[in-house]
Amino acid sequence: MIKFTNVSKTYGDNTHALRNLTLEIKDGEFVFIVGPNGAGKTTLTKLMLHEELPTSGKIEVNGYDVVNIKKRHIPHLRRTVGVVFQDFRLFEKMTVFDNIAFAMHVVGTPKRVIKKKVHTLLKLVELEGKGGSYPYMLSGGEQRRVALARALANNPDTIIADEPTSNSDKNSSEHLMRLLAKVQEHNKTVIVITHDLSAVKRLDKRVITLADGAVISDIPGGDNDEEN
Amino acid sequence: MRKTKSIKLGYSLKLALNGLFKNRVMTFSSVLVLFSCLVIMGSFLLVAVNVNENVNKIDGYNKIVVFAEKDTNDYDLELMREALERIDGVESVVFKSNEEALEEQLSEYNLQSEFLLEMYRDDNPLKDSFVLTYEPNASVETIKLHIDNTVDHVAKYNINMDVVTQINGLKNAFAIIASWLMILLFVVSIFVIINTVKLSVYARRDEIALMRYIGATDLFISLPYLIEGLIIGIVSAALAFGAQFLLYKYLMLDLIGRYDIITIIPFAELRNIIILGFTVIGIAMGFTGSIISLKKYNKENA
Ligand SMILES: Nc1ncnc2c1ncn2[C@@H]1O[C@H](COP(=O)(O)OP(=O)(O)OP(=O)(O)O)[C@@H](O)[C@H]1O
Ligand SMILES: [Mg+2]
Repeated sequence: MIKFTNVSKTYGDNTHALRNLTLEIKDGEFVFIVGPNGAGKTTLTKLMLHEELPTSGKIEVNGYDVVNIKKRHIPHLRRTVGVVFQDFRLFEKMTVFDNIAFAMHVVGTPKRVIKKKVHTLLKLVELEGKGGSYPYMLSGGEQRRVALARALANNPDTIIADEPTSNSDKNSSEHLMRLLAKVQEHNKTVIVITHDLSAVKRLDKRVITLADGAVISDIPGGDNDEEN
Repeated sequence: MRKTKSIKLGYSLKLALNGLFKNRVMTFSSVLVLFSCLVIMGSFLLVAVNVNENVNKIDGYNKIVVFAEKDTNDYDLELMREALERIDGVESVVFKSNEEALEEQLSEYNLQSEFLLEMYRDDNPLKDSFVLTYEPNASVETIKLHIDNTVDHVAKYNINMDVVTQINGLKNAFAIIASWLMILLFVVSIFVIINTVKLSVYARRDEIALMRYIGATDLFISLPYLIEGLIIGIVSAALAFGAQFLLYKYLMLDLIGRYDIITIIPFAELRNIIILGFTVIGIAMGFTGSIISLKKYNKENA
């Protein structure tokens, strides 16, 4: 579960990225977070990962008290959250296989386990047979799916995708959304930050809208069409 | 669990070797500087122990002869001995009775006759004395002061002050030069190691940022760099040991040791202390360099 209680984040003296924000995302939910530039969406994810600390308020992520967490527990908190970055952040000099394996190396997974798991993940993101390719050989959409596979590698409880469909054509963005929906079926919480309203409409999931650091609407899934 | 650990180490070792190889010019400089540092330190140390060994043999050096007043009784002599032994820096006190002194003198003049001995026995012109041996680093001035103030029945004492002052002066100058040179070299070594490690941290900064996100522990992230420092330290220490051995063999034992009046301590007696010293200092320097480098990096990228 992810729970923000009266969270404010002020950068410097007067950039109020989040203002007294309260929200709760249950385990296994699929949530879109939308809102204009500078609304505080990325800040939200940074706070969840203890990359930034809130100015005030309480944050709970997958059982961790993120604000008062002990330093040595931060890696464990982060292992419960897989992030798909907007710019993928794949290693150009590593094959697709190694890029995904890297995430598991880093947390000390045995080689034997890694090998099996990478194949499973490649299958899941529909990139079987691409393990030996280098990122530059892949299309943007395919690279994004590699990034998703890597985010899933350590079996996190939560997947966060920040702008996963920006700069991609309709087909590949639909493909990625379908995969993210499939990820949710594996009992994971999926948080998608996006400007892509067509995707939001199509999937009919819960949509949280942020503006100026506050939640201005929170529409549950399934009721989407009725409320609009 | 065990398996996991060994894989982690293997992976870190691979990254460490990779990092060292990629920055091989810096790696080479690090090893070279640390190596020089250790060899210079070792050489100073080895010269110092040999100088000490030889200096201590010089007659009169680090010995003081304290003469008791004539006819001091046994009880007071015992008090004198105790007082002398209590003085800081005094290693040993050996009593020499006036009879022993007499015998010694007579024998020196080849007059080993019972007759003469008997003749002087009741009217011995010599005094009872104590031979103090003091620690090589003790201050003669302080010992003198103590004798003057805390020991009764002292007739006089002999110190070969000229030799003592000169040798001590030399020793001090040597120690000061050695210390400064060593400090300077250590600072340079640490600096070079910091920069070597920094380069390889920098080369992998994207990876490190991602590792943090993925949930790698700080130890896991730091391990390759700590290993880099460790390798630099161990390699430098091993090379320095080899060089030190050769230097000692050719310069000290073969060249200087040829002169009979100079004793050169065999290398075998010093080998363990050199190995221990080089290894400990090498590893400490390597680690310190890595840790400072990582701390700096973490600060800049927090
Ligand atoms: N590290 C930072 N230092 C100072 N200000 C920051 C920092 N990060 C974000 N901000 C500011 O905080 C506000 C919210 O930023 P945030 O990145 O969370 O917005 P966002 O909703 O992700 O926007 P976008 O849609 O453009 O990605 C913005 O005004 C931004 O300029
Ligand atoms: Mg953003």
